[in-house]
Amino acid sequence: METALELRHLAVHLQTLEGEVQAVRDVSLTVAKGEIVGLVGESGSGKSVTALAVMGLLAPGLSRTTGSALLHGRDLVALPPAELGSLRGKDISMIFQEPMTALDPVFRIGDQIVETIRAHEVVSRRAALARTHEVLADVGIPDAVSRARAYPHQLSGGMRQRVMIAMALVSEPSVLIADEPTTALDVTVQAQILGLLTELSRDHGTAVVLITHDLGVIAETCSRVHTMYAGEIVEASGVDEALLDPKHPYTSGLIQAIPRSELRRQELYSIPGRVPPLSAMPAGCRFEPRCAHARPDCRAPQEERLLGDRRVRCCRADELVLPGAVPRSVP
Amino acid sequence: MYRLVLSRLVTLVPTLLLATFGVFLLVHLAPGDPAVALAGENATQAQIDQVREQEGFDRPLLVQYVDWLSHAVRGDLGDSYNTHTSVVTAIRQTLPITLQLVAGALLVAVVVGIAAGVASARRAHTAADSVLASAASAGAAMPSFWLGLVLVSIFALQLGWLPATGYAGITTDPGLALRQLVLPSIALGVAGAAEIARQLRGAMIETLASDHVRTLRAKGLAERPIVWRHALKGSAVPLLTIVGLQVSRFLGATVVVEAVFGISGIGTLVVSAAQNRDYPVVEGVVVVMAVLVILTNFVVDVSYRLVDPRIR
Amino acid sequence: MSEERPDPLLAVSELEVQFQLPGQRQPLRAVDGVSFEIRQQEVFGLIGESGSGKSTVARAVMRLAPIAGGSVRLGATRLDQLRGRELRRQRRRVQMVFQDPHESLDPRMTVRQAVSEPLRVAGSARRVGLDASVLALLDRVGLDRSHLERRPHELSGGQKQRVNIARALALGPELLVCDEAVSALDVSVQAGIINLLLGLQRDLAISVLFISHDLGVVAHLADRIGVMYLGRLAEVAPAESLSVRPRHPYTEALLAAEPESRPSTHRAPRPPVIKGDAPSAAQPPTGCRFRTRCPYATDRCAAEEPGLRVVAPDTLVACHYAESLELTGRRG
Repeated sequence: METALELRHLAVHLQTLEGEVQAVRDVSLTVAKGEIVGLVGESGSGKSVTALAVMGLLAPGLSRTTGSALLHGRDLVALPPAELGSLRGKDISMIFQEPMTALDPVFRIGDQIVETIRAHEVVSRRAALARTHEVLADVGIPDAVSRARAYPHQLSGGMRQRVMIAMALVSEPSVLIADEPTTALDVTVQAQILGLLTELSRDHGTAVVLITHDLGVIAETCSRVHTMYAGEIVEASGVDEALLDPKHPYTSGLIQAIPRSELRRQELYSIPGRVPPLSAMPAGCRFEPRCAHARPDCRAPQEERLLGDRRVRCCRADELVLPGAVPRSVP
Repeated sequence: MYRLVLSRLVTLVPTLLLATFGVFLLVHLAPGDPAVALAGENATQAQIDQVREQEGFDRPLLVQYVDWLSHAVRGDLGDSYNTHTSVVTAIRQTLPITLQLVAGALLVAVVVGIAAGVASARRAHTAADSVLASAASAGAAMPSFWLGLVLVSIFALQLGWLPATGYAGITTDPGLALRQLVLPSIALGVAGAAEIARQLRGAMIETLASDHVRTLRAKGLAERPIVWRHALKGSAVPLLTIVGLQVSRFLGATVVVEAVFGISGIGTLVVSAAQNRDYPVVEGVVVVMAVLVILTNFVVDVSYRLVDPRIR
Repeated sequence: MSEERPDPLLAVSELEVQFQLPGQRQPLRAVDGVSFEIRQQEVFGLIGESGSGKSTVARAVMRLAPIAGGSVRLGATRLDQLRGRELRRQRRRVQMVFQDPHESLDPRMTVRQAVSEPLRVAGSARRVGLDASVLALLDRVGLDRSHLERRPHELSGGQKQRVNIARALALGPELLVCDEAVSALDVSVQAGIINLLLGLQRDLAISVLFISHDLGVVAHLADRIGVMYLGRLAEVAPAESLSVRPRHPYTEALLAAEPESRPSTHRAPRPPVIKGDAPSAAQPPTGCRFRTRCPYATDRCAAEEPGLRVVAPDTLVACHYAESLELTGRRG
């Protein structure tokens, strides 16, 4: 499959009050055309920072990105800001979590989409408006022509997110990064939006990076998943394998923390301890202080290991058998 | 929209009544006897008493007010004690001049204020921002009359670039009028520019850090339309508020600036009337000023709705 | 059905809560005739999406929202009719834990001050006894002495929520109301708090009203679940049967929409995702409120609003076709 986006050893350093800290370390992932890949992690895992770094949306004076982010071969990290700006919204787009605040409240939604089109192409306003109506209909907004004249506050959360998706996809980008796009939405609306993303990705061949903390969303939408912890990718594999047979203790911990109806009223596994602060990361395995399977070797810095077509950042990956989403049959 | 305009108009009337009654009360409670003022300095006691009876100064204050009000709504603000010409005429001769000056000051304040505010916001927390912030503080601190005197002294007297005093009126001699307006407009408008710059800077910094601006950047929009089309419009509500406030301030500060530059506007009129105990003129001018301020607020109120669709 | 059972701890009957919106003539009926009971030592889950009224019900039970009609009985006491000193005295019997652990704590108070505050307000003034009580409460929620002098910004999200729970338990309430108490927490932290709540409910023999939009969490914790839609209850049933055999089309839709973190090989087929947005709560549809999005709606549903009625042991449903519909649930 044709690779649309490839991140290679991406690292991001941020300037904080305590000095420079590394928010993201050694992130590598690929997304193919038409594929939906998941990036799962909890708060502070660095998943959003990674996305913002790829898009060039981090504050310029306060961040430093190294490594490479190849969009059809062009390295986004190495591009000057003006050039990256012209790619944004056209070849690579991003949608965000809070549809309530992501749209400009004082402009009509149709005008905001027209603006996007005309920021990248020389077209007449009428042509842009026609395309706007089309794309609004594509994302399932009924009565697109009159809805285009609405202001954001006149639409529901689900509608606003559809508008965001329309705006992001109107210029047919190769890659869409979706950062927690459904977290703030009701569950029925979430299901509709995820269905929409899947359909659009299939119809237009858009590669999607879906960032979320919800493994259920990943399970139902993505083909592959990357688990992030403390700024690193700790596991990368197909979704089904990751759920059935996780190879990193953190992934397994996440899976076990999810309430399931068959575990009704039973105690859930809760990963002990907390994520270390960015300014005080362990030099070795970042998960080691909380890991039930830690050994002295784990104090050394962990690199990614290949396990078939899976990658795991754990020195014990080939020996551990960890609980997954489905109880293993007893041999 | 119409409901908004209507509801604001409805509150206009009681506000005006309250304002005019307040003025009437203040003027009449001030020390000094209107009868003496009207009769003149050399009048005898008998003449003074006669005037008092004729003019009805011995009636209760409320009755005098109602009498005055009943004339005022018909466009009759009485006659000046000094010149014995109608107050309305005097105002009609001087108000346009003041309004031209206020317009000039508003132009200075808005253009300089917005430019400085946007420039500060875009370079927030840098050295340039600090410089602009200090300039704004200095500008806000300068009294208009002091600034006026300084400007006259440098640009008119020493350099001779612009006229020092007087104002011909825009209809009489536009070229001269515009040159005559430059210094007074700056003197009056600088403090307004400083305030506008400060408020706009704060509002724009907040807007530029908001989620929807992040979306605009993600869309690939260049910085210039983000700042000038989106962030400015997003900050329009606080901006309009502060501009409205500045207009009200100008109407008051014009008194001083007119004095410095020898402009015969409504400020000059009211100052000399106050010194001469010319009550009808003072009342008339203050009423007109109150109406102008209320109208300004009304315009600002309505404009909010035009700029921000979320406001009902 | 409840002849053999002891009296319920909380009995809500035809509860109504209305809000007057500016510029609207009709008030918004956020809760429009809701009746349910919470039994002794029971965890009752209340689920629904935004606009369902579930949080408003919680607030009404806490007397934090104005009650326009109906009644709320805690034991023998009519909570909805209380006022002044009597109300303040009865408040200790029902305590609440809110969604945002950070916003619920005064940033300038230490943990010790926050947890002892209810005790001090209620009159337990003696310093020695107070400290011991605070420590005991912290111990119950999994914190210890080392947390006493910390302020909120020095605590993690999970720890803050534990402090909130400790504070809520300080006065020994009979009913704990949790309004989206774990929704703002990371998954692994959430698990810890869920475990804590389960343990507390058992050990202290209290009842819990657990409100959430997350069906998975509620199904895990609750004994019985009430499903709300647009201000009314659609279904009330025991947690196991609700997931496996829902009886209201909305419950089926919720179950279908909830993403399942299982591999594709282990996911059962589900009905298609429901379409459209929920109608405005200010103008609910005539007849059954769910009919505009219900795949099984008939003319009768538009004409007649179904009442909540018993269709199976301990199961109430507000649907004309509850007995005949074969709805899809999740595997047990």
